[in-house]
Amino acid sequence: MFEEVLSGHFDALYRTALRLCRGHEADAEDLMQEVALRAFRQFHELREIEAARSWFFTTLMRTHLNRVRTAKRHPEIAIDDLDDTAFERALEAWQAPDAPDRVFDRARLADQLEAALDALDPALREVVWLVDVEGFRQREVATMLRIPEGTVASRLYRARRELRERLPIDRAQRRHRTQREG
Amino acid sequence: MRCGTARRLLWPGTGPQPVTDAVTEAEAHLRTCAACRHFLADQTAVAEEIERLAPRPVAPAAVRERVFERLARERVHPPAGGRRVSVRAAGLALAAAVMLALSVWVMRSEPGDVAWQQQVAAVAEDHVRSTHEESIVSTDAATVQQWLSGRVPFAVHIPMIPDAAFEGARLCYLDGRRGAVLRYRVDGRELSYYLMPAGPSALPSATPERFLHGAESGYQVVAWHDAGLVHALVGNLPEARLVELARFCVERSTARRESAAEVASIAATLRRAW
Repeated sequence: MFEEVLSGHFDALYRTALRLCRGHEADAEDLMQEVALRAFRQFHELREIEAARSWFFTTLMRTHLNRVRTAKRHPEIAIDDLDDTAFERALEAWQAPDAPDRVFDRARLADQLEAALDALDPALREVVWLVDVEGFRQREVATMLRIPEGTVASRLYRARRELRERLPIDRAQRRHRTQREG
Repeated sequence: MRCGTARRLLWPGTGPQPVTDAVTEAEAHLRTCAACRHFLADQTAVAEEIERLAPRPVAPAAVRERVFERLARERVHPPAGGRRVSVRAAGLALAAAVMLALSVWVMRSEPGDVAWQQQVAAVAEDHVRSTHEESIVSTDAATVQQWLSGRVPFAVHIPMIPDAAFEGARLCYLDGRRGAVLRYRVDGRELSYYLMPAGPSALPSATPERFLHGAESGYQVVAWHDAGLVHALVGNLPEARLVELARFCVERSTARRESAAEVASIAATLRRAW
């Protein structure tokens, strides 16, 4: 039953749609409507129910990318992807970040993360959301977005770096660990 | 091996990889390079932090409802040249019995496949909704009544049917309308009491005095139309028993209305006296 399967993934799809639309609820709902209809019409293509989550997200991501291309609201690829050599150079240039001085409460940090995610380049935001928040493997995301796995890794690295620059994330991390250890 | 190459090859989150000479070399490099170990640990920690802090809003019920309504319409009116409607409705016997029976009545006034498809779509929709936490298990009528208030667009009175154990309620979504299903156990068998807002074509000839009867897959259905609602009792019970229970529900409903009218009348009298 299509609706039953969809219902089990609805919240995750919706919150991803919401992030893809930078928090615009009406746009997210519009996207969800289109995703649900497309998935419904192609449901017979889903061979194994265990793969439904990845399949729905693939439909979501491709529907979103089609809409973006059609609307021409953003360039198709907004960032310059790195090849392996350039990616290795970027990795080599990594420096251990300094912990910020200020202490932020978790709610405020969460708000800041939401704003920072929305401020990311769309191509970076998609990848960091799918991998770090929704827990997909980079290989799965590469298939969803039809990009090489190495590109997923390099976008992920850049996305995390930008988020870290915008957030006092290390301080929160240390406090979180201290609480867990305590 | 350069740090950049080792970090790329050992980049966390790539999943199982073939152990090549390069990966083996990268792992050896990692054992001797504190900076690379720090880098990999840092990437994992940042990923955990993002995962922990990311907003996870739940889809608003209204959004969910609109999307599923749109799907229900899609089932009824697939796009031109579209696919064959395939509803795997096995296991929906109880809900199907209601809608199959209702479809017979609807088709009396609106013959044709569309009405039938509408009912099938409605059954599917109802089943889906019913399996996702939109139900309450409680033998306490007051608790269930409170749970239903605000969830359905009408007041629900739960009749305590003689020789029947009340078990709870759930919401149903049929034909684009939200209703309530009260669940009872009678003579060891399940009985569902559907209460739905009446649509424009619903049960034109059914009244509290004249029940409509139907049967499907061993389930009997008795329905009537009263006070803007479609009422239907569905169960694997003899028809005569179901009619008896339906009469009881009508009597309780009538008595409750009369009682409410009486209270309103007394209140009006008191107001005038003051």
